[in-house]
Amino acid sequence: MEAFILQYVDIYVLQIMVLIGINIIMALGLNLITGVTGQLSMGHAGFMSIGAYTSAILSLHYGMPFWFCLAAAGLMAALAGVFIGIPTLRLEGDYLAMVTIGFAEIVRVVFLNLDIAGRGMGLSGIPATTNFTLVWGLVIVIVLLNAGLLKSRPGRALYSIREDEIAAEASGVNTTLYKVVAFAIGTFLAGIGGSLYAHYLTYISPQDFDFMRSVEYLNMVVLGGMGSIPGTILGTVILTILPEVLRFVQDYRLLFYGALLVTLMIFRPNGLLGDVRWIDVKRTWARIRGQSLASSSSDS
Amino acid sequence: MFWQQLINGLTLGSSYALIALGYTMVYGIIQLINFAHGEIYMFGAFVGLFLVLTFKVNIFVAVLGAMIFCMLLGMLIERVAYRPLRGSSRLSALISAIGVSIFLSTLMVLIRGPKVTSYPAGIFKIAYFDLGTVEISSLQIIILVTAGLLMLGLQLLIQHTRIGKAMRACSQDLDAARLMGINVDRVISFTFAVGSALAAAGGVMVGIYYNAVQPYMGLMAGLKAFAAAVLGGIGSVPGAMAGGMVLGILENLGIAYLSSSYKDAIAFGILILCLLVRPQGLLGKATTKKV
Amino acid sequence: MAILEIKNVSQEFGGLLALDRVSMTVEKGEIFGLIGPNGAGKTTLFNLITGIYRPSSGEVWFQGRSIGGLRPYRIATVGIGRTFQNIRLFKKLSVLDNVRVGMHSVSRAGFVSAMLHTPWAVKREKVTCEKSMALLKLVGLENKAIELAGSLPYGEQRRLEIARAMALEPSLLLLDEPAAGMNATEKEELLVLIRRIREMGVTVLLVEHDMNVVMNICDRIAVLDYGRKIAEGTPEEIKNNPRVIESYLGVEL
Repeated sequence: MEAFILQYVDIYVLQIMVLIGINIIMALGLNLITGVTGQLSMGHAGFMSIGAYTSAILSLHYGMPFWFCLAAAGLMAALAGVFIGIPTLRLEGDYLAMVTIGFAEIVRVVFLNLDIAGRGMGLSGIPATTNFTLVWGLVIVIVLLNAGLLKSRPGRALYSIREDEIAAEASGVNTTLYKVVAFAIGTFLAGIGGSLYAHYLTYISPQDFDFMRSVEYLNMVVLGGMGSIPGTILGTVILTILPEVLRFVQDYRLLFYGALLVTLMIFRPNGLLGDVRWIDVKRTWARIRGQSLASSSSDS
Repeated sequence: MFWQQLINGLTLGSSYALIALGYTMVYGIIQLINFAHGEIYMFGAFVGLFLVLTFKVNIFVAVLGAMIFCMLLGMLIERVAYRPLRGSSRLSALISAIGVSIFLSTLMVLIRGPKVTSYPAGIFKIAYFDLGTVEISSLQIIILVTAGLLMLGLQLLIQHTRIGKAMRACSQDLDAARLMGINVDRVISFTFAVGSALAAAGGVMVGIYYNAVQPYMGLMAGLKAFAAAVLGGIGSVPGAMAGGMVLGILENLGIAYLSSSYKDAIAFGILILCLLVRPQGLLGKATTKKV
Repeated sequence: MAILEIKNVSQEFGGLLALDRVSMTVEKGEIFGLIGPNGAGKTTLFNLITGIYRPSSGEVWFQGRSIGGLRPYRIATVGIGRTFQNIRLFKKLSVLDNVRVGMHSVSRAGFVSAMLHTPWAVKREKVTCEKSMALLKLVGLENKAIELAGSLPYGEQRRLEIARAMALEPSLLLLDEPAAGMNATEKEELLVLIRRIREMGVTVLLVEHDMNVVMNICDRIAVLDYGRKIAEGTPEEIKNNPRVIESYLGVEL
């Protein structure tokens, strides 16, 4: 499969496609936490780095098979998520934002000082097991599972927490439990994304997972549309390709990012697709067609 | 050693406290983590540096100039990026604040480059006083006294002036304050101005103390100051002062007795611990939510 | 038989007594009204029954078990539904989804079965959907199922809140000013709706300022004033109670 694709697709394009896939997995995880459940997490890169390092250390130092490393990466990140989530998510308000930033920073400092993680040098020579087929296969599975979740009982409960936590509780939703589970799933996906990333670039260092990377994932979710799967995918595709296109204005990229966030929040606080519903699109379409039908019939 | 670290910690802590005050005041009134606050502190440090390098002013003029500049900057940010979002979700406002923060730090990188700028050697005459086991520099004394005076001034402002009374009213209940005829927009604007001025003072003094000013200094300082505000009890002005001091001292003791490589992790470790044990902070009151 | 017993309950906020040793008993199957001037503690009592506040002292018993101090979702699960004075709908969810969230504790589908779309979960979904539509029909919103809750007019939002509260199949329904902001026709419809809910076997406890509504529909009424219960009885008794007239009803009745 991989060889087949490589015959037809330019290697540079393929590379970007793989990165888009990894970013979609990451962003869907954050979307579940922030977009769907409304809990602002700003340390997504920290959980990603836990996944990346877990996976890299297990395969480099212990010679574990890739599938084992991938699963362990997700579980370690989720474990950290639960550890952070339980004390923080029972509080209302914006504490999670600060705690996740702080936690990601602690994780970064720890890896920077850990011998087994290669300290500031990072880890290199990680087996390159990530490829296009694997990443996009996972993307499809994750999108399907995620979509199934969001339009069922637990998914609605998560949305209700974002909309009004008190009313959600009064409707029988154990908000603390659901917030923690959403956080665990989201950080699990970050761990998976981190593992795929490490085994794709074959080299990782603490700088790869700094605060700005967390902000980039937040941007993807916010730009595309909070809580919407197509929105998150759209945001991820745009923001993964845009820096490549804007390479010549690299210095201004972050300036643009910052301004984009402010402008978006003022003019489209729910992102590009955040409050677009499939059913409304269909209705509008039906109305337009109805009108044109009506006008053509009145002509005749 | 302990007493020396205590003095160093107090010096660092007073700068955290100055920044933390801005977070806590803004949060108290509009429940927004003003994420760009650290960048205002960074701008303050640069304005101070600029004044010293260009006009050879003394430390007090530099502090004053930076405070005035950042006052205006803070009010501008509130007007452009936060006021249009009043009434939308807190998440939107917070993300907007993050946008401002990224914008400002990148802007400074574009203006000055990402490197660390230092003050020229010997530009400030620093005397050292030996007090037996500890040594304290004239710079530390200036920082402690200035920070102390600013905080005292803030207390007087909040407790004994009309606008201070209005600020307290707004932090109790914004809607009720509006109904009582308080110009809420002006109070919020004023709060940003005061908070930004305090952060700027902190920025100039830290820049001189560590002899290093750089565009990304706001992020970490801002995060730590926020941790200090939460530690003290978010929304509480004395809490922010106490939280800043406690954090500064603990961080310095941590460096001295544990390891300096984990310096940045200490503050956040304390923050997470604090949320676990006492989420309302040292001096904060447990509040009941309104339904 | 008593369904809800409030025993000597006090609630203090920073030195202020919002409720002062209030006791009352709601009998199964009745419509019980709670009236009193603004700030008398009516909504505080609701928040206390539904677990949003923890009583400073006193006990709350529901169907023979103490529920004081339980988390709000647990109280919802044992069978107390409520609406809010300042409507709290999930504004960006559809009308149908609002009711379906209300059915949360009735259905059981978990994360795994939802993600995997197991036949069992799909079947549960279908049942949830049908029951929710039936509730929307009850409140007359069956044609608005796919609208966003936030886009409904005020009166319909109030009715949607009732449907959402009914979705958890409560034995006791708490309505906080259900008629607020409604016009005369809507109020008439509301009275019919509340009576129908009672016929479905649900006990109703309501806070209301509109005396016509209260006197019309309630079997019994309690009056709160400054956090204290000053009277309790049938609408006739309340109307003629000199203390109530003095402190609340005024001279016009």
